[in-house]
Amino acid sequence: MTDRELRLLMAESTEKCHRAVFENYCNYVHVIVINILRNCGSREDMEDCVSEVFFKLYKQFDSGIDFSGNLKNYIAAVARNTAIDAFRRISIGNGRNISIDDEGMNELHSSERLEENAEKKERSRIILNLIKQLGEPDSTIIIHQYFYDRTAKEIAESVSMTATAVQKRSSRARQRLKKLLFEAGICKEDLI
Amino acid sequence: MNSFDLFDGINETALESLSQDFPVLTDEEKERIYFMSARKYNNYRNNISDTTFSAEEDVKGVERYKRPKMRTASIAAAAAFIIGAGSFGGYNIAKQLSEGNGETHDVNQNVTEDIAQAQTETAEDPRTEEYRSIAESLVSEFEDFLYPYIDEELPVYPETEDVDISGMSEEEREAYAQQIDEEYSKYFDQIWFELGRGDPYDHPNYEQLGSYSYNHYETGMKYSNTDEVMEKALSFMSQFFIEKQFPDLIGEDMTNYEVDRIYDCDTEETPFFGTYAMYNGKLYCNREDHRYNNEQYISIKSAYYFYNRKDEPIVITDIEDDSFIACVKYEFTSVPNNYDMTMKVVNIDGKWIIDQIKPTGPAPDQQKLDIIGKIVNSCNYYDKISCKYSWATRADSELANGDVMPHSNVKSGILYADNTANKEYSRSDDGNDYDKELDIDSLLNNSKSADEKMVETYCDGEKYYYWVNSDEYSDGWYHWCHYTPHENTFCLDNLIIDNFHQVSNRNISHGMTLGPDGQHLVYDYLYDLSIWDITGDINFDGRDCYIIDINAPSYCIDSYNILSEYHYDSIKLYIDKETGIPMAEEYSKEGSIEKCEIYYDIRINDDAEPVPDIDMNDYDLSRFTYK
Repeated sequence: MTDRELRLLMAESTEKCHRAVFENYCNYVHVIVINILRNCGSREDMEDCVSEVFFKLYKQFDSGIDFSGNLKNYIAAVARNTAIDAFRRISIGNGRNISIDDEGMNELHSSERLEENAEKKERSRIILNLIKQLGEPDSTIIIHQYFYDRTAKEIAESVSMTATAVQKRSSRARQRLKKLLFEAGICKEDLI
Repeated sequence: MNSFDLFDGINETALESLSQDFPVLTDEEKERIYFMSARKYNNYRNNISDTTFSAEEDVKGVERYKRPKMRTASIAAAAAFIIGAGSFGGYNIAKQLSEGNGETHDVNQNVTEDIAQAQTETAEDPRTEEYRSIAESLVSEFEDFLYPYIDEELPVYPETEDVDISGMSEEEREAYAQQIDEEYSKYFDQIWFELGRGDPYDHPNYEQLGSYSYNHYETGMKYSNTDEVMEKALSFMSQFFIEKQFPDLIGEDMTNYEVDRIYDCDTEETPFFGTYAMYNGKLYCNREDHRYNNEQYISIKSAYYFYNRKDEPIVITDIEDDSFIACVKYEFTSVPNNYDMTMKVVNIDGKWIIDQIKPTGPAPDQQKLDIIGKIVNSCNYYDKISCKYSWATRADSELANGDVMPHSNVKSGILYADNTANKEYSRSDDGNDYDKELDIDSLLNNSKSADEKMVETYCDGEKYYYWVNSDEYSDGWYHWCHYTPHENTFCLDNLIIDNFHQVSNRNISHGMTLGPDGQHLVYDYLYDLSIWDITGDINFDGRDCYIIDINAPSYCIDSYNILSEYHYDSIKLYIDKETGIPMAEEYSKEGSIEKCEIYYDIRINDDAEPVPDIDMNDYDLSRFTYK
């Protein structure tokens, strides 16, 4: 979606504009939020955070901010910052101290460590490719189980299988992935 | 799989790819989130103007999620857990706070450690009895699921005749063994896999990585295939809980793998081993055998084990329409100091299931934790030490007329240690006769001097030298070995070096003592806070001490008697209040004192006598004899 398309939609109907932006970017915002909150927040926290991201975006649309054709990057930035705020809020609410030295927060500030980021980027790319190499439905099962933290029952519904079958496939897929990671030279002992 | 590691540092390109290739949100979830955002926007607009769109009506009926109490308390509970562990200082408190079967489990602290949190008594709630009944039923199902067999249906093997195989030829023996195998295989089958690295016949270079043994009974197994196992599990447990409590419950079908042999993990593909697995169309179970209080327990692999349920009603708390907490009383669990099974029960689609289980117990006694911390870290209180010791063990003799002559062996000595060297003189290698009373006071009053230097040891941080002086029975002998300290340092923290040339904090047998060591007391007894009490104070040899009395259950085995796994049922300790040094230990069995150990004349830091200089030229290192 371009800035111009957004303006046109806004002119037509605020609600239509919101709906279109949501449909286009909700999955993207969702994974950004999950990536930051999945070690501290519940699923409800994440959904709340995603809705907060879009609420902030709607307000920005009202203000007529110029995205200069880079709406996706803007949305990603809003999602990241909102999730970081939520991370702090949830952590403090849970009695966890947050400091700049906190390991979790260091992850959030990793943009300053360019070299490390480059390594992580490459590692991410390889891991994702290896997961895709597992083929369907194993790739979906692994991603849904270990990134989205979905239960076997939920995964079973999304891939039209039984929960038992999902668990079995997951076990096998995990073993295959372990081998693939090992062959790719990025498998730490405790990774899988 | 550790998802945090796998997706650690995933970058935004990958995130975008994930969102495109593996979207997870269902239409229902999307709608819910969209309406939440719309509601926020409407509220915001209402506050700044009356200009809104009709989303308020759109979101009618959409409820804000109520965050489960179990989750919100989790990290606070984890923090409390860490504080508790921190009281133990550097002690690797595996037996105290880790999972009981010795394995490292990926216990989900988000959910399990908070069960004991924020439990509010709801005894007046009219649903209590109903929920207690539900909990009873679920506990029964849980305990039943742990045991893989139906005892009364297990095969009864036919009586076999006593056959003398001594006169058989090798071929006949083999044929007979095969006949027995065939006979028994009608009722029972066992298959095994061993995983290793390298050539199994190339000892010691071969590394065994694990072994798996699976049993199949023709009758008496509760399930006939893995689907039935999962179906049963999912009937009363949540998927999440199954994965945590019964890791690797279902293994890969092993039909296409060769059984009963060793697999080289570097070169061969092995099955994914689980508790239950299919082989040639039959269900096999890899069961676990464990013991508690001299009783054998058979069960499937489980994160926690609970032993001997008490005849007490289940305590129901935190009652909600769709969840409650149930606390079941047990005699013991695999997590010491937590004697109860506390479980979270939730209602999913009208069905009650177990969602979490955690061994729980009362908050540990802080004074006891402090004392344990001091004992474990006692070496941190000094850099130099000199002291004397006497260790006496009962060694009664039976006389020719059948009478028993009581006496003991005693070993006395002096040791000096700092962070550069250790020197020890002792009277003997294996103990001298001691005919006095075997108790702390008598031993202290009758402790003998170590001036004779029957045995001398010296460690310079690189080598450990050991001399036995000549006496009327031997010419004396000498040996040395390399000293292999922890973390390449020689310090008082490295308490013990054993006679296998390795440092161990636990194995004192025939080893060198750098200083008084109380760690074994913690590992063997004190980790279980319920079996000991602080019963008084005493000044022992000029030092203020706690008196600790331990009433040791049979599962407490004295690690200093490793070979015999000796059990003492009553132990008295004097623990120095300042340093945590165990000044005196008195071990009894059935009312009789069996062993007594004391340290006295303890001097630390500036008061300590320096480690005596050793002139190695005094010793003939080439002849293995003592000059």
